[in-house]
Amino acid sequence: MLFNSIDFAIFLPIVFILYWFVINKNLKLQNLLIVAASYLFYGWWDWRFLSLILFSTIVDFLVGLKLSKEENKTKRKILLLTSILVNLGFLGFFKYYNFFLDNFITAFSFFGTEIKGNSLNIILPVGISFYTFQTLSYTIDIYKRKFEPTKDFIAFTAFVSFFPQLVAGPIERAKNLLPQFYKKRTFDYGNAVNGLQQILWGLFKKIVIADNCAEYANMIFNSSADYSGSTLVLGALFFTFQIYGDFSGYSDIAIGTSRLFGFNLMRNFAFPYFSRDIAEFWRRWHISLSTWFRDYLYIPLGGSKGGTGMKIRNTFIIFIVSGFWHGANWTFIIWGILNAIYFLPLLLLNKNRNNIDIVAKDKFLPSIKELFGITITFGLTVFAWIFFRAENIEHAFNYISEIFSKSIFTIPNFDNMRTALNIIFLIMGFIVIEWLGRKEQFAISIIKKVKPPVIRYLFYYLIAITIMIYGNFNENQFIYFQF
Amino acid sequence: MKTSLFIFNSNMKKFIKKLFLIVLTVLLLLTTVNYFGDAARLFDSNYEIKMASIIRQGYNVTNISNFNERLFQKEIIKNLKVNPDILVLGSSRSMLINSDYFEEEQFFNSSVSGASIEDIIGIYQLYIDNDKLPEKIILCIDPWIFNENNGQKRWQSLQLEYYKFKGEERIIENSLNIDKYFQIFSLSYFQGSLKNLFKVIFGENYPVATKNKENENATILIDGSYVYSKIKRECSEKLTERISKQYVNDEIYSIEQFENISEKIRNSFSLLIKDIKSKDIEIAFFLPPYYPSVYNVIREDYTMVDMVEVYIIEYAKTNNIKVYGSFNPININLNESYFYDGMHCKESGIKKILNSKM
Repeated sequence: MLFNSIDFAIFLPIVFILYWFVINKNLKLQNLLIVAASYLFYGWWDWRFLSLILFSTIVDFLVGLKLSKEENKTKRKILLLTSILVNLGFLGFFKYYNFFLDNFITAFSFFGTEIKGNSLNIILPVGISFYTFQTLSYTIDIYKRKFEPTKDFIAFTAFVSFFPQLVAGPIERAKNLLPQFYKKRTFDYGNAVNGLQQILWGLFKKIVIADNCAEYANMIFNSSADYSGSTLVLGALFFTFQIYGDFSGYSDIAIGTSRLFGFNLMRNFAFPYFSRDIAEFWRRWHISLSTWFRDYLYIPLGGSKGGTGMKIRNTFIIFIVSGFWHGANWTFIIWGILNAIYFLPLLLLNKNRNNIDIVAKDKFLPSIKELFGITITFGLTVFAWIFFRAENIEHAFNYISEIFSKSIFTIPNFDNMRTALNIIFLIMGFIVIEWLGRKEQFAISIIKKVKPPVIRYLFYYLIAITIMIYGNFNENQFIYFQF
Repeated sequence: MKTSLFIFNSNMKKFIKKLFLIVLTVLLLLTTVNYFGDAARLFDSNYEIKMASIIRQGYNVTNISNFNERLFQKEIIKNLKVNPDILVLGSSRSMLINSDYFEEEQFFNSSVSGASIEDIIGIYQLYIDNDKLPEKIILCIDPWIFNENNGQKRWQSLQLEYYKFKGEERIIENSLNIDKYFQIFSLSYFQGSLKNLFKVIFGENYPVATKNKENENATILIDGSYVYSKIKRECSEKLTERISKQYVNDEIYSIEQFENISEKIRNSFSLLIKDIKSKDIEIAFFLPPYYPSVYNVIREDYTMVDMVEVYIIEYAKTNNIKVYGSFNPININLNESYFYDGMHCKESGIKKILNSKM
């Protein structure tokens, strides 16, 4: 089920009413309702893959219980390995089988050996990269004795399958989300209103910004050979806003929906395009994944504590793995390497934590230096997104080489330029709102500081009407569903 | 003691009340614009009558958009003054065939966009019902008419006629009517209706009578044929190429999931041809070509299209029926310059096809 679908618009109020107005006295029943609703939500897409989630849930629940009782180090390692193998095994098979097979065949044929292997027609289960990482964090934390396992199977099942964040995150940690399933939840008016506001903003980002940008990004990327360098730059910019609107929009809807049910999810985006350097960008973009890799990969590898060689190695590992997590394609790996190259100088010069607070925290506008930093970082990010969006490496290089040709100095030209101008104006308005609300959890919560309620309501209506007028209602899938 | 299923506290009440008011306001705006703007004229039943009345008075009709072509056919056939010598049945790909290509005086084109076999049969039945059968029928064969999964639903405006021809008694379920009421809550419909609302307010929303054939907007001529809008007529070859490229990048119109030549449709088709022949009406098939690069993709990935052509040529041979055209533009010497887009051939191309028997 998609957040931007009629199905969800019917599903959400029904679950909300049952949850708060029918069974709100009984915590167990509320959790059970969340499980049922989550399985329905996921099964709406393909019910067959519910078995995968259920299997992961059972394995990790049992491994968690065993780990807490087991003192023998070897046995504990075996238990952890079981969880890792099951979760990464599913992920590896469904997501990476064909990639490895194709690359082995290519590599062997390069050395003159022909090997046969049949690619499988595998459907990638939606959200598999998200929920496997979420459950993995549970067993790893128990193994490290940072977290006590739950004995409540329903609460654990609800934690793994919690529908707002099941298919595209934020990738929650057990220590944040799981205890929330044990506590009695009371309806909080402010929290619910806040949740609705965030849902509204998420829908705006997805339906107005991302899906409209997608039309042009797809058109330009799909026929990139037909366009001038300047048009290709515009195509890359459209994709830059598409992916941000799409993914952060999803996160907003997920966090907002969770609030409606009395849950607080972690923040996943913190205005990344206002970052002054790449290190800051990675602290603000897909925070739940970046911190996951930091805690479960980068730090166990030694982090930045070792010598220069170790720092370089770990940086490349984390970015390459992060790229590969996004998909079984060399384009994602190059995208990861590129980001590692951007990040490395900051790390080696010890400048990777220079910009912790949001830009221009106590000012209205950024300084020239900050603006310069934002522009350079944004430019580097846009450049890297070309690899992320391209069909293959060759496509990416052709795209970039056309950008760096004489045609960069021509006026961009493509079909429906007039409609595209509307979208460009909407993007500009979007940037202004994001800038004004950059100190908040999500941009439009800045409006709560405006005292007269009439103005606040007018603002919400304005966003709703903008969605109605400019929204793309084709129920487009979220990009991150494929990861 | 009276117990309620629902448990409310004051906070919840406040939340629900406010949310309800907001949703209600938005819904009110949505339904008002959709009803009065009415982009596809779902709630204006007079539009097609007005169009038909202009044609009946001997004028071409322009400034037309989003009307129900099937209802228009019902109106126009009902009011035809004489039986046509030549009648064209088919889709938008045969809409541009006009009287200029024929020596016969009475010509009429009853093509409708996205025509399925049900449409063709339904319109043919309209000619029977109104006693307006022609001497000759040119039947445009689109590959999708043999695809059970073509996704066409518009024929339901003609289901009464279709089932009458088939001799099947059915309770007519007009799902279009149900869809119509769903549309009043549609956000996509809202966008079109909002644009149209201004036209409604400024009175620019009506069909206009004209003696000119080529106008700023699309025009239906008195012979039922169609002339594209100025923008489409003057579309450059480069833009046509790009549009055609886009056409194959998306799902190709009505031929996705084309797995076989449906036996059910084949039977309906044979029944139609037999009926036409039994009434001593001459018949010819018209196979409209695709844009060259579009056809190349179709030949590779949509093999059923060529199968339809083979089937039609065989069928025509067996039944002694003339065939004009081919889905493959190379077979009829048409290059890119003969096309408006990926699947619509220009008038010059049509002329070339009709002048050369396959």
